[in-house]
Amino acid sequence: MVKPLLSVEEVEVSLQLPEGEFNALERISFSVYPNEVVGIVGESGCGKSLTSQAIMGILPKNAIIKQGKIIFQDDELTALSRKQWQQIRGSKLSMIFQEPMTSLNPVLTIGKQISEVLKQHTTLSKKDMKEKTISIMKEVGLPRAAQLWKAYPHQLSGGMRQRVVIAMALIGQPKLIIADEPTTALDVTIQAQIVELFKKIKQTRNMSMIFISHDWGVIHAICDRVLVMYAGRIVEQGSISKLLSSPKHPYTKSLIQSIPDGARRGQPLYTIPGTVPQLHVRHTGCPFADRCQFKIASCEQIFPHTYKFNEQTVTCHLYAKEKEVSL
Amino acid sequence: MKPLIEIENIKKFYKQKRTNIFEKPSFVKAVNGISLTLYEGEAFGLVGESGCGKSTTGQLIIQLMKQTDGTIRYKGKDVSTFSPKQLKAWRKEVQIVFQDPYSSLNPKKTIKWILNEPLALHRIGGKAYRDEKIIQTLKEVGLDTSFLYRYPHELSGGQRQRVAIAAAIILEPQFMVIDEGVSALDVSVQAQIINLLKELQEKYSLTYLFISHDLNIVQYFCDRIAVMYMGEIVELGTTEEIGAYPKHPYTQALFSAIPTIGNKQSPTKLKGDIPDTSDPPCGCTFHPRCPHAFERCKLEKPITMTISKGHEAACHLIKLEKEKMR
Repeated sequence: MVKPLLSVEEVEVSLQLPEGEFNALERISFSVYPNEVVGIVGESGCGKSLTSQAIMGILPKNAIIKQGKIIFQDDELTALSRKQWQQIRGSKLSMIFQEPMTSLNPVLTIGKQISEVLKQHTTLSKKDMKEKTISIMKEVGLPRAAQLWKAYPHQLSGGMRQRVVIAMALIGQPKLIIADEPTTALDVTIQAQIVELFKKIKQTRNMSMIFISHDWGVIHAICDRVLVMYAGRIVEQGSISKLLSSPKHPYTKSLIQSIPDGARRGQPLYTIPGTVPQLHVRHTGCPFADRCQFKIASCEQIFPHTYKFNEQTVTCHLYAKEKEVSL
Repeated sequence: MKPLIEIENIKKFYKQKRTNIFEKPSFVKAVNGISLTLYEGEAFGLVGESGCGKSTTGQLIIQLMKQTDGTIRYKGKDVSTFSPKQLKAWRKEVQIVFQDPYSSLNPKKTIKWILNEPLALHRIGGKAYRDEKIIQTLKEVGLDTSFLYRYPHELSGGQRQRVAIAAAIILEPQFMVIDEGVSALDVSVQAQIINLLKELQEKYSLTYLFISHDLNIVQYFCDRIAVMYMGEIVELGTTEEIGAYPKHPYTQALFSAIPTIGNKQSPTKLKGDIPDTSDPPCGCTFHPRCPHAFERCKLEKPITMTISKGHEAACHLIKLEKEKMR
């Protein structure tokens, strides 16, 4: 068995809100293995971004990790000091954000921003740094890298800016990159280019990725394995092909069903009634119970166990019987 | 089918700031000669990458801004000849829903105020009538009376978009522009809003101009589609035609770039980004990115050719193909 690169064990994150303290992430557990791309899907408010922030150690001030461990290589991330974090971020772990306009500094040149990682983590000379920066800019497909080195973010288009952000994440040669909706703000044709770039990175570089998106198409193109999150919990995980061909959790099923498709024109789209429950109204049972069409009596009171089917796991009462059979 | 809106060769140019007083003024051609006919009761999709002029076209049609050139006719009448009074009356019949329900609703006003405003502006009914109309409209978009005295920040994205739609339909319009109306929402909420729009269309026989960059939704929602590139329509046809037999290389690239979960053929990759609109490439504006470009594309602008009834595209390749057929 290969040792996982990152393992998140029973992590609970709580948020301090004016209404009180609430658990936004509840007992999240998953692993990322070397050279693997793990996708996270779910509606907004499900805790996708909070999960990535917890791993990167950039949780908002009102959020704390109440319990659980996040183990990356051999380090326990939740116990790191500020200094130790600075050594890990950028060199071993890095992150790509959704909005490339806001994640770049408008008053610094592209070259400066990309090479800043090297300045922090290496003792390279200025010349070497520039060389390395330009080579990484070429790798992510930025044309005329030597001229762009002196350009400012506002001079670039959205797709190019996202390439710059990817270059910044890659230059430290991290072992794990977390990409939080990196293609959502882009046009389809540009999105296709960036997806292509991610595929190339996946093949040529020896690293893992956590890829957050709500677009099943993009997830399908890039990821090996997918976690489906709902109301702060992982409700289903498995390989992308398995999840798409035989989704088990009712939430995964409805998510896949509500993707609009030209072929289904004329019929009403499938919708999930209601919305993700707000933090302060979550009850002890299954959080999806109120919106679930397969609800049974136990759903509202007891939180379901997680059942395992080969490589797929699902947290739902419906599979309690099946599991006994399969064992 | 009766035409509701006919657009003839509309243009919208923006003057650019000169850096030198001896310089000739240059223009950004946001919309560069578009002709379209929208028929009563149809859902017409306008797609393209950002910056191609699709939103500008939508706003020109409902006269949120004045066109530089060209005419827009509503039910056969030229909109630019309307007197201010006529224009105001006409505004009742055409409405728009914007992309971001977070910024299109006034954060300081209650939902009731927001829905009352259009009625008050057009002096429709008395207080009792208006109150009843507001409640009725709220119900139609799937909200109940408990929302009346709430503020936009208390609602979720989907609920806000429902309020924005309610504010648009409360005047019982005939034509609605949905400018990226569902792009900012989650997939599941998106589906709810799309279904709501479909229901309303059937109920009021509304005509929609649906502007979006999400081709999946456009293909699902619209009867006809026009593909825009750099301020011009490069292809137009029924959804079935365009989906199955896209003729323009740009349309082909756009449609193959849709990320799907089905079996995947590799997308036609486009080189580079959309060119600068203030300095468009000569000849066919698409030639620098086109995988099939040849000499003629750089020199000559292609004219729009009819492929079959109701399906047209502007590309030199189509002419070549036709010549070969002969």
